[in-house]
Amino acid sequence: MTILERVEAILRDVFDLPQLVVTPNLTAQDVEEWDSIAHIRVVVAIEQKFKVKFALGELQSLQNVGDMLRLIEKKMQ
Amino acid sequence: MKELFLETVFQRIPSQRQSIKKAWSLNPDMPLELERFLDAYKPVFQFFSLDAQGLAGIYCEMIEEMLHARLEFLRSGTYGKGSAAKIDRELYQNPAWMMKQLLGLALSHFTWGHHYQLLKFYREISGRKACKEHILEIGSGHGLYTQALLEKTSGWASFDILDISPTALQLTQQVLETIVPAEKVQNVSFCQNDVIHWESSKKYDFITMGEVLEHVEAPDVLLRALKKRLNKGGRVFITTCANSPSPDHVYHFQRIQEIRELMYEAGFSIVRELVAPSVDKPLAYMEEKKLDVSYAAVLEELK
Repeated sequence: MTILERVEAILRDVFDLPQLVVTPNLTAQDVEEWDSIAHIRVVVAIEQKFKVKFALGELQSLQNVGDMLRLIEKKMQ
Repeated sequence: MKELFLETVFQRIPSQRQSIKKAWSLNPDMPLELERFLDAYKPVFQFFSLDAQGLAGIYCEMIEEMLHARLEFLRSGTYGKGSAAKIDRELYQNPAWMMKQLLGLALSHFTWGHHYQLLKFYREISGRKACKEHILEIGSGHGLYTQALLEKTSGWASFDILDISPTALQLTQQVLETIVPAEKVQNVSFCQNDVIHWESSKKYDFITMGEVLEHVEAPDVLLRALKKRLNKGGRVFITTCANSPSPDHVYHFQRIQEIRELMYEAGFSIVRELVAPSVDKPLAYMEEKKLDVSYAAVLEELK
């Protein structure tokens, strides 16, 4: 599975939206369920799945899923 | 004031727009209630030199702190590692932190659906109170519940307010002096103390304690202390929460049933209760995913 596919699976689970289609351009504003608490759940799920850890400052600068994917790749290197 | 408050919040924390929109779609009265609260509390905000942007600032600080606490909670699976004595020293006796926390929590009753549900439930319960009762409020905090109870009627035999934080007492006093009609503020006394160590033999007909149980290391001891302060036939109103991390939450309730069992073990029966999940999902889902659930109960002594 690609990183995008794994992130998609996480977002579908956290938002309880099994049909959600996730692209790099997807933002929190596009998904009604993506509020502050859901965002934290997404972050922790990604940390657990990819065995990485984010700093709060890194999370605040994320604008869309694409930013998230790039950050994950950087952390995994 | 409402528009400027919200715009300032959304600029600082954009995801709050979604959070508040969702809460308001499930509770259509909330936007008007927020407006009423901001209008009613204006004298209080002015007393503490807070305008709409200042208020939004402290609300955002509280939200950011809670989100950070939730991040750490989800990473570790638990919270409440600080001691109550340390939290009292560093937070409850810290006026700046307390004012942020109290006003932030007051605002949360009009921006978080589950907190709004608690307030509605309390207004309904307090509407049934009889006069000439001896009332004790433990942890008046932001004064919202104090205001709700006092405005329902007048002529209480006595209304004692106990809080561990001097800032909370100051805020509640301001609410009573500037918002609640004077004829309704009768026989009210304030005391800074911790109810477990409070050396008073007075007993009460109604004890109200909102969002305190999760702030003590031994909630069972606190519940037993409440029972000792009840007159025969008296009732207790409590609110608390499960899976709700906060810098000053010392006890981590993981399930609502855990809270109920603690109440039964302390010798109470549950007359009425409200389970208010923070997200519109079944309780089992909330507890599995460790999402915040608020809980309120009216208790009486087990017969």
